[in-house]
Amino acid sequence: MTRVLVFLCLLAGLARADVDPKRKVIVLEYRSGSSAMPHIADRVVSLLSKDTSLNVMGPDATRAVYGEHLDLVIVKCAGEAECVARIGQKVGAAEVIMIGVSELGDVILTIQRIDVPTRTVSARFADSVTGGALPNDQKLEGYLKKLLPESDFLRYGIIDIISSESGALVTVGGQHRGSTPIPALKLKAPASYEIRVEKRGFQPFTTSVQLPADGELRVRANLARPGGAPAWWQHWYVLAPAALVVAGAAGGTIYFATEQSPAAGPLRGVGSIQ
Amino acid sequence: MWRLLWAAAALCAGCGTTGTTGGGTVSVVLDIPNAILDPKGYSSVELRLHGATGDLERNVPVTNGTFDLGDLEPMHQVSVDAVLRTDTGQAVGYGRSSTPMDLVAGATLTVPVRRPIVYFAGLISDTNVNTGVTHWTEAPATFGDLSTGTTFDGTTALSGNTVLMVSAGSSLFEVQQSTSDPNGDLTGNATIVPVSTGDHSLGTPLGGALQGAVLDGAGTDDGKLLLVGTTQHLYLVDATAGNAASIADGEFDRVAVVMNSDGSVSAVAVKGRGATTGTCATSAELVWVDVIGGDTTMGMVTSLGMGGFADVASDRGHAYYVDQCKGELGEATKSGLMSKRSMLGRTTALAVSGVQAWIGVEKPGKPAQVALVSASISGSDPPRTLYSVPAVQVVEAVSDPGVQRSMDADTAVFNQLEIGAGGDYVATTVSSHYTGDEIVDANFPKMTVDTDELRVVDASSGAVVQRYRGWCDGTIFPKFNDIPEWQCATETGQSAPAMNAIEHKLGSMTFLFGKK
Repeated sequence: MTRVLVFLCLLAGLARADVDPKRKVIVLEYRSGSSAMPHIADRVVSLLSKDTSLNVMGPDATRAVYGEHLDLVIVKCAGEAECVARIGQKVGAAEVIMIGVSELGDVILTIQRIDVPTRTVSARFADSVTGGALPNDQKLEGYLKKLLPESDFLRYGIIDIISSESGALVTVGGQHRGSTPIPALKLKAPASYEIRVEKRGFQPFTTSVQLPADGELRVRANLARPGGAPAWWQHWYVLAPAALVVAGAAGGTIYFATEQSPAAGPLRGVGSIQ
Repeated sequence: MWRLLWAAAALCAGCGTTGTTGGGTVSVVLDIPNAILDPKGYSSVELRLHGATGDLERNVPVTNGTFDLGDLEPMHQVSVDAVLRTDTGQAVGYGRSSTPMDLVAGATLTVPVRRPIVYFAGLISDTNVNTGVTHWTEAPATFGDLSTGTTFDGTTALSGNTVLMVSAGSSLFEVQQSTSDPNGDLTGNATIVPVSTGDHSLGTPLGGALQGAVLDGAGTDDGKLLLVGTTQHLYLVDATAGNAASIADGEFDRVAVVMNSDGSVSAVAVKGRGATTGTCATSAELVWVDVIGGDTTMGMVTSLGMGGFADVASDRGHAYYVDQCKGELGEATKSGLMSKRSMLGRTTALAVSGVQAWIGVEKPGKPAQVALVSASISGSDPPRTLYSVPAVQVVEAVSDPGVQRSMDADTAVFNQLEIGAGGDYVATTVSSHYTGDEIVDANFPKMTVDTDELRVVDASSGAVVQRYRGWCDGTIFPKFNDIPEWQCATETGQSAPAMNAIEHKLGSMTFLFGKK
């Protein structure tokens, strides 16, 4: 059960951070006479789907696209990068994560990251364990973080802040983000952010949002003067259809139409728990 | 007893003193049971108003049981979702209005709110090791409270032996029925017993008896009506009047209730559902049943077609189905079927909330696998896999510590799939069957194992919230020198009943306010 040998070979320059974090990656499994570490590829797929924004396809999904002879081709490739890259090319992947399990006394787990366009190995990792002990998720995540760029493990969401008034100062998570109109903000997710939109002569708008990974929030800040009323086009139900056309990648766009100036709306909402 | 009194006049007077609005006040009352099962630990409320032209969301702090929603525009026919959250964002209470309401001056919108609790029920078998005779019996339903963060261990149970749990908005019901010993078939008439969602006490059983073995149930958001499918009929149960009426004949394996925009109620159901293992069967019938009221409740049945229909779901007046043979998600209306998504795999379970669907996909093989994917119903974005896991069970020798055997499932099938807390959680139950041949060199006997597992995941990320293997039952065929006694091991992150006596199958599962 003790790890006796670890190899790590990260080829310089290829584990770079400027790769597309949503690129298509397929995960394949190659076994050389070993049944140890069952379902290791599925676990890697599960972890990558959870921890990254990569478009990950496991062996089953790849087989559905490539054809039933996928496993035969993998065996023929025998881990050779150029051959494996051709599989990735056929299914439209940018990279192939090839997981190899073999036994030389100990069970040897190798994970190669193969760049499809260049048909080369961009990073390689190997670990040797006695008894074929299954690496837990934490250990597998450690392997993957060594193999893939750090940027792959950073996830983002988008907050699009639209104010009824131009020139309003926008603060998100305590950081000034400029004056409206501002472009949509790409921020680390999942996370919660405090948003404040303020302009002299208007009631400030504040709200707190939960930004999901790969999600998109649209926040409409309708600023109103104390005692004033918004124009008809500022009403949320007029603005709502425009928001609904935005399709989020995960869970859809969440629409925050929050008119918080106490004097602006014709109704005041109060509530209680009883 | 719920406390529903609302001092509207006093509040409006209070609002008047602020002098901030000219249009008046609208009041939102989150109605909690005022009992032991009250939501606790919340610091904010997330309110979603669903209107015909769009949704409005507010997330505001709660102070001394009150909250300020700020200014609101008048809206008509809105439905309201409310989530009570802790400082860390955990949902500790959820509720949904049962009917559309008008957001106008002077209105009071009452939304029942309850803890996010998942209930599961099923039978238990006991085999005499000397005689080999198995006895099946009913067992109390178990529940897990997701607001407490406590790992499920089967020690929280309701009163009364239960074979099916049905939720209807904030209301909860046990379906009780006898079991035939030794084959585990349900027999005799079934009865329905209300369960208090304030303290889990049992109410008076409803009148009316259901014929046939109960298979599936669903309820309306106002808690007044239940649909129960049995091997013989589809029943509409009036929980208020306490009577049950058969609205269609046949075996109804999966049912969903549809609240139509005109206030009428319809049912969509899978009749004669085929097995989801082996060759895909196209012999299931999807039926639409309009409920006709009056002196005698009856149903007007419309057949929507035959196919590999495996599950149905409904939300906000729309009904949906999955076809396991076509790998298809579609919408069902009385006038026909409309495919929404295809090429999804072997789709056998479905739950829908708003425009989002969660779909259970079974993957045959050795080991068999199950996957949960989410997809927008009408979008073109690729479905997102929340999890895809092989069914593997490790068994360990009782008398030889360290001796383990890993078994790959021959089959793994979804029993239920439901959305809880308005979309925070998705829960599934999966039954898996394993066979292991004798391994002479290792003294491993031939064995078969059956397991039922409840998996609750975060609906957006797929992260596991709870994994509870409620049932693990093995049959050992030891020969000379074989290791005779084995027990199921638990994986990291998985829990199991704290003691064998409280194990039971997971034949039924539901959330309060659950969506299926």
